[in-house]
Amino acid sequence: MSRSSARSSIRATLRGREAPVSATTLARAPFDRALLLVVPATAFMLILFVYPFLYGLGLSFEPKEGGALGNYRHFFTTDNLWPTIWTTLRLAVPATLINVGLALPIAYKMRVKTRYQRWVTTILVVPITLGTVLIAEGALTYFGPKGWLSQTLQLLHIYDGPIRLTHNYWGVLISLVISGFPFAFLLILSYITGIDPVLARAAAALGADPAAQFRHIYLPLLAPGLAMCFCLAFVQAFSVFPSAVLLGSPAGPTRVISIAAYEAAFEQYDYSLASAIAMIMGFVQLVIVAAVLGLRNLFYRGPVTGGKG
Amino acid sequence: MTRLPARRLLRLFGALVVAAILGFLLLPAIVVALAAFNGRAILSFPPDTWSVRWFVKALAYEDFRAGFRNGLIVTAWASAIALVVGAAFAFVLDRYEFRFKRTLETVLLSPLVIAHFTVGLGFLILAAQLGVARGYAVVIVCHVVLVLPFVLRSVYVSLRNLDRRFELAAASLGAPPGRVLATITLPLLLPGLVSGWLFAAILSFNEFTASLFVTAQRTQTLPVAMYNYVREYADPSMAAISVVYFVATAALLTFATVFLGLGKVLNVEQAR
Amino acid sequence: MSKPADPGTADPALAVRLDGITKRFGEVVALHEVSLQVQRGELMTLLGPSGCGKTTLLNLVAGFLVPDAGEIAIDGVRVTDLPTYRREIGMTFQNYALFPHMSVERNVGFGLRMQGVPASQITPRVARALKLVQLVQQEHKLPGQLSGGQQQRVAIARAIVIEPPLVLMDEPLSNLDAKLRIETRAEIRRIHRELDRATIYVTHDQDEALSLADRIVVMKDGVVQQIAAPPEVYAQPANLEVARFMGYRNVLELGVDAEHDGRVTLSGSEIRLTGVRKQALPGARACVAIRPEELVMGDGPGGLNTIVGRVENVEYCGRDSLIDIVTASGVLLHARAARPAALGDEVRVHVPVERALVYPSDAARA
Repeated sequence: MSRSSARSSIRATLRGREAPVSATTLARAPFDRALLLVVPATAFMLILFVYPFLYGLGLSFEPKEGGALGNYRHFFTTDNLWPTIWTTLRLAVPATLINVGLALPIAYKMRVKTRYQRWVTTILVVPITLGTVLIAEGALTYFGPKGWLSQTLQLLHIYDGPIRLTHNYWGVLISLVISGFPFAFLLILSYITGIDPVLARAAAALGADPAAQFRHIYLPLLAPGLAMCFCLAFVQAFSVFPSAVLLGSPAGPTRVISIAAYEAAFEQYDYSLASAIAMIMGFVQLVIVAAVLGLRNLFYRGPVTGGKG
Repeated sequence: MTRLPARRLLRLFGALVVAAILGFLLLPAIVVALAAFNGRAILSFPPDTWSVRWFVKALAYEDFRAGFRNGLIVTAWASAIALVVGAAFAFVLDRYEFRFKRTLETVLLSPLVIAHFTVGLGFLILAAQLGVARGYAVVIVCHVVLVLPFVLRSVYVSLRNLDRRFELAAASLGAPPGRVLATITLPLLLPGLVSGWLFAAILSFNEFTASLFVTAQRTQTLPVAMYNYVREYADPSMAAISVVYFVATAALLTFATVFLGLGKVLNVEQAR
Repeated sequence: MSKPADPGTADPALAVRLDGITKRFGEVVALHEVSLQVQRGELMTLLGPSGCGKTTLLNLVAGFLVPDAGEIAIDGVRVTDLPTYRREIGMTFQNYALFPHMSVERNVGFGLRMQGVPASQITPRVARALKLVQLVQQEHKLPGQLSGGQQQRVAIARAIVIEPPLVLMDEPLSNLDAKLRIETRAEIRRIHRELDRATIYVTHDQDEALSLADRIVVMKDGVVQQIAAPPEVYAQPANLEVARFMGYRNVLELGVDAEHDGRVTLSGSEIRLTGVRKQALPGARACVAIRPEELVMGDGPGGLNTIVGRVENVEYCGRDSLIDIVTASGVLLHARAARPAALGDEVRVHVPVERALVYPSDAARA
């Protein structure tokens, strides 16, 4: 819209009179003032979002020694650094698969909006409030070698040996599932409830039993959303940090990539290396996300209603 | 009306599975809650004595009190700023067309796919480079960046579901644009605004990884304080403070889900 | 529970049999002891205002809902407990419910695939069905690329290609514009005649019901009001509800003077009418229902059934005009006349005795 009409409508607004009537001014008049305020805010926000990233990227190419790629070379040649990628993947991928794989059937069961659904949804979402540290604490208490699970099993004479579920791979995996499940569940639930239930009815009227309804109707329509959910859940899981420290063994089997970056920043005071490691972490995430989203483009991506109406 | 027995069985089985998963997810919370009331410092199952002394100790512990205070300050500011900025951007994205709209949207939503860790590190480095002290400002700004996507999405979805004709009707009845905004648009958007804000507040209050990087000793938030505590001590005061913390946020979250439909906040793709 | 009226005796002529169907939603009784029989090859419409229970009844026959009482049999087989996917029905939905991720071809072939029909047979059958609904050259398009009318045809093809003994249609024309509605109505009539399958058709539009149905079931508040062929429902509504719904816009509540041999004389508000009694008249007052087009200009024979009034409003409708007449005592009447009258004119109208239908008065309704 033109500057003059914007100005006149603003003036009219300030004077308390209706802006000159035309289809565009009428539709936009209420927000002209907001737009003016937003412009500097936009600039500011963009700086906040983009600048740290660009700065960090630049910094990663300015290592303490070696050329521009010194940090990266260092990472891939140091024995306690480059395997962290694999270690993290080993944790993140199964955790994501479990989260998405569990969330899907449960969200599917919950697709009808009943009171039962609302309460279960609320409870399932509670772990969001727990925070990683509390989860770690609880997991340690419960799954630790002298923890309650061990004591219960001994009490019931099911298993007498020590339980090795903490300070190793399993502790971190369990913690990742507990903290990642609510997000995956809520996201998938919102996709499922977005699918018009009359489509399932139409399929049933055509002879599709519940299994066939899921396979032919829900699954294809969910596939894009599932891919999105996988990506978001994966990114979360790949960024694992506190659980790996508290519930894992950061020196060895659960030395995830974020630990490597943390050490670089806080123990070696090498911010440049830390940035480089963060960039590598982001890059790996990007590769996997791009791959999954690329797969998703092979599926249907359009509207999920059944036609006019 | 008879139901086929097979259907019943399947339904029961499904309910059991859901209950099992619920139990598993809530396990840490339950365990910690019970441990908090344990009379002794050592964990035994079941606890043989009960006491609230850990609550007393935890609530008196200066680090926890400071952490709680700091957490509130940071969360209040961060969620408020995120709400205003996020809502403004949501308006702009919903109602205007301009050249770099897609880019703007991507940038604003990018924190969703970037590790909190990276964001925290980025701000830490930036603060160090610019010579800015590691005070509240850095933490608040960091949190704003982290929670903005959620607020943005929540308000955007609400805007999409808002029938523009209400505003046009009000305008046709003589309401000036500011009036329309105040009496029509904002009240109708209220659920989206509040749930977005609430979610942002809860995320910010719970945020750990990025906060670990950008907070200093005097600005550390509660999760960071808890983390530092648990690395050195192993007594149930940690559990006690966790219970307090958990009850507060769970109550808020229940309120949000039951009354405001929190599920819509995470509706990343579809606008229904 | 239910008192089944012997659903075991499968009457081979019946495509659908409903006995004593009751359905409640919480406190609300959506259907109250509805019994119905649909003959083979018959097109039966369920007609009524929104909330009358017609869609609920259709959903019960389809199996999306389970009745609280009563039995349902399709093609002689008791299906009350049978889930939808095991019932032999073909159904179209109000918003078509075409699977958005499948092409037209795959949509129409879906039911055949569910039946396990080999692919070699599916293709020709799908092609035949599409030809029947006159939709060719669109097989590979997605539903989103079709117009409303085209989507409607695909929905119909999808329902009939599986050759079900019973077809269910839920307000198929309500999402189409007026012109398309009339065209598609003719299509549905043609297809039904060619396939000759029992069809239950839900609508709130009486024109649709009149033009399509072999029999009309008029419903209100969950109760069946009348089941009859269109001419009878049009000219001889069974009660005042049906009359009101079918366009008897003039309903006058008058005092009963005398009754003899099915003829009733009534008077009130300076009007005297003689009409035909349709139901027993228990009270001292009764309602006379008259269609606007049957309120004819001019005096009745010997001044019988003549009403005098002033023209208050005229609506020109092309081939006739709708005229609002107010009598001296303030009674409002609607009439249709070939020639428009002028506002303020005094006019005289009359109604033939057989076309003044008298029903018992309901104090709550008047």
